[in-house]
Amino acid sequence: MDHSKKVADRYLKREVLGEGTYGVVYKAIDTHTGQTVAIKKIRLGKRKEGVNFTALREIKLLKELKDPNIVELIDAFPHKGNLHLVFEFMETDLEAVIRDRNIFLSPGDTKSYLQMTLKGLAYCHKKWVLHRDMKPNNLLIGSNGQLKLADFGLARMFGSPDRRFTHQVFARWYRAPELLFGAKQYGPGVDVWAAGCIFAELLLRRPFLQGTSDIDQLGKIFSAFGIPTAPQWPDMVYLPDYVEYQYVLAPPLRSLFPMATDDALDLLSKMFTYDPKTRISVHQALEHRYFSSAPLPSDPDKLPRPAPKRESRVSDFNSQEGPTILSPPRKSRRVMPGRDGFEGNSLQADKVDASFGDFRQTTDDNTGKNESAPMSVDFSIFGLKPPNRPTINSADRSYLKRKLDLEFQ
Amino acid sequence: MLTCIYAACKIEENHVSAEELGKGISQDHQMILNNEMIVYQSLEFDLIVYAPYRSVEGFINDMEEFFNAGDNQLEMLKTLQETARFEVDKMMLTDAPLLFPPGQLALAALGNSNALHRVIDFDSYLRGIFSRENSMHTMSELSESLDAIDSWVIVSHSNVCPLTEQMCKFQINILYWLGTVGYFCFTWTTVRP
Repeated sequence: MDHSKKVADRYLKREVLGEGTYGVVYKAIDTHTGQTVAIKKIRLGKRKEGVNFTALREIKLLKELKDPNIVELIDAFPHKGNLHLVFEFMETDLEAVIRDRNIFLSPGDTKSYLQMTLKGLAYCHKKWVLHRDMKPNNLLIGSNGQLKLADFGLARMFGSPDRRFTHQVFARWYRAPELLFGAKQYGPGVDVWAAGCIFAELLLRRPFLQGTSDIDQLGKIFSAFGIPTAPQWPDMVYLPDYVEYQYVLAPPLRSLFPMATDDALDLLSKMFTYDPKTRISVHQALEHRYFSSAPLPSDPDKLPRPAPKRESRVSDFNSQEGPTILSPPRKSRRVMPGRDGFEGNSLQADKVDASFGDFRQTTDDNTGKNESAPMSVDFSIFGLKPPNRPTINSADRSYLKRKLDLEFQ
Repeated sequence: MLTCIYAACKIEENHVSAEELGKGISQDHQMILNNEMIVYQSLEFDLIVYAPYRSVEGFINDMEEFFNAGDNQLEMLKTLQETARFEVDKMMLTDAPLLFPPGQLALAALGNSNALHRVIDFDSYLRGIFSRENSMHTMSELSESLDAIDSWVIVSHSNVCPLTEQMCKFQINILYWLGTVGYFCFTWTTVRP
């Protein structure tokens, strides 16, 4: 890395892509390579404790993680009082794919996305890194259809005996039951549970367990899988925040995922095993027959793409640095009418809020009605607002404060 | 130097606030923070130093199986492990962790510990590793690495600076961080000729 270069001397700024807790992410062109990149600008300012902890963690770990299914950190440098992290540019994310009702995901497509997710995760775990923030919008998708894990701000290394971690990790909907019970010593099983939630979300085309608080999250988990019994999870009573729940019998997994194949249900049940010690590992999951049975995972470059997002802002730099090169027109997206026996065929959005006890899913062909839908996602068609995905919400505000104060490990 | 300690604690996820460090030596903590980015830039943001502590534990577990250890030998292996840990503490003050993989560092520490305690036939254990693993490398190559690691410890140990000696008295754990700091200091010297 050549630190003497300024942003303007190497990276031509383009439009802003998004804004997060710690700063802005914008698109840029690397004039050395011609490559399009995404630059995360992290405010340093007069912070009480110097360089941002999560940025440091992201740099530290991504320097060690080089894999086709993990986003690449190309460069890092301070510039004008801010820390800049340069990533390869990724066009969209899995959340956008899942939400786009104009996209039909074939069984092979779903399988492909899950396989790439697990491959990235397998590499992390092999390097003794827990991601701890697995969710669809942290799974980025490149122009070639490759899915890559991103956002390692909550990740850390594991495997040292007696190291205690915070249990306040993952967005709530993707948080494993042992974390909700306050476990401080945990391992890669927490990432597997979150990946299971992502798998369920690919099948349902909506988030799976949408708890509104930790207690509610546990309640929804137990409604879906039944109350954990002592033989199932012997150690649960020893967890710090363990509480007893009213007995609930597990409904058949088939009733929650009526269009899934037997192999998919089997893999799901192993990923959602309560006892983290017996939960399937990422390595074992990749060897599951789900991935080797027909249909095989789709080639990444053949996966359907969501409609392009509207540009959130056009940088002032554009007029000074020449005309913006418009991206070439995209290949037409594949929109297919639903067929019996295909996974993901049931697009019954009106059932999103149904309680699991009353959960029913019809096989009515609803996809055809959407063929003429507008390019952008229009949730008014389904008469409901898109669910608000939790990142750090009010219930976790104290956690955010502690995170900012660097009081957790 | 203090910025290096501060940065090392931060990177190793054992955070100590700049204010606390500043109080300890009657210095303005802002001076610590102002230099933090310079430290990271000097390292080209290569921030992880792999310590061999986990590898030592792994080898001890492996030895238990290899020698089919009974209760008495398990106790001796525990002693071997504890002494090896102190050997690793010494290594962390040298450049060895930056030059050799953790597994080799762990074997060097265990070899020295075994030379003291005579718990196992160390050479037969090493030969056992090679016969089991179909290694691409040879026994003599490994021996050379282990000897080189020992050399680093011997040379560097006599050059421990006074400040380091003082801090060693506070708590043993800080040695872990100082190993990382040692690297920072080295780089710092080269950055400012």
